[in-house]
Amino acid sequence: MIVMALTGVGPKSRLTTNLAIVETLFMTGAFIAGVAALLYDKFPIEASWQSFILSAHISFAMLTAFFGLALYTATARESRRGLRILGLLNAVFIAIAAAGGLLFYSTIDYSFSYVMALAFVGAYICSTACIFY
Amino acid sequence: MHFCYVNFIRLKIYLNNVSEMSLETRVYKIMDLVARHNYVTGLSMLEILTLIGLYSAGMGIPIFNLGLAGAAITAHIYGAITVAILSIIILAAAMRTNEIKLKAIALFNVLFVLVAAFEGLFYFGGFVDPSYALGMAVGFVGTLFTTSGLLFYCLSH
Repeated sequence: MIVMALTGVGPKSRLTTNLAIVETLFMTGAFIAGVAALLYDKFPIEASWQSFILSAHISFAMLTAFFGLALYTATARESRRGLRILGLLNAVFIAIAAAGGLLFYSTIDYSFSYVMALAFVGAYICSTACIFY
Repeated sequence: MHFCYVNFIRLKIYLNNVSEMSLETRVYKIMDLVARHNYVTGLSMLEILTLIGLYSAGMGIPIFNLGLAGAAITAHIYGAITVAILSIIILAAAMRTNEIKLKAIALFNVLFVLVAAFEGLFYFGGFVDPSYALGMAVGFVGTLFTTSGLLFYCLSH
């Protein structure tokens, strides 16, 4: 029934759209850098190019988190219920992904990196939705 | 505090309205929703669900070192075939609407699916090099972007 709550036509502020576009770009960068880190990096890191890939992933992830919070504050002021739900879900998924990433980095347990990968999909869908919705 | 309370009351009224609808009305409402924009809404919902399944199977392979044999790769390939067919059906359905935005996003959707499919076939077909898996990931991101764009454009227009 949450899909029914998401059907609705109405105004959307330009700020929400722009923040969502920037956040989606950062998230795309974070995903590509993250997959490269998964495919090429071996822990513990020995070469500088491996640490470059991981640094790119972490930088993009932190930028995504900042812009996700900004997107949440922008959507919280919207009049449409669907946009408010999407902004909140986006922040929640980013929080899950961040927690998964930090737990993976501290324990090197690959299950947490799977959590990070799954939460990415949710966050990406929500921020793309804020562009087109 | 007052704001929270008002929202809570609104939610209760909404849920009451939903639960008081007969099953028939609910089914017809869902059918109307799915059929909007020449069925692009329902088809993109199906594609996004298949993409989530395909991704969770495909991402498990490098993370847990499952190898290119077994249940995970089978689920991944069947999901990929389903997404490829659905994306072409969505393009056909979107071309019969009057919205240029919908047509453009559906076209890009098919192109990104093609990129991901070709990179995946190179990777699976013998060139076992991580750069092809990276190309598959790039195609996946584009597909996810365009599919969710299609779905939420349909839901709000």
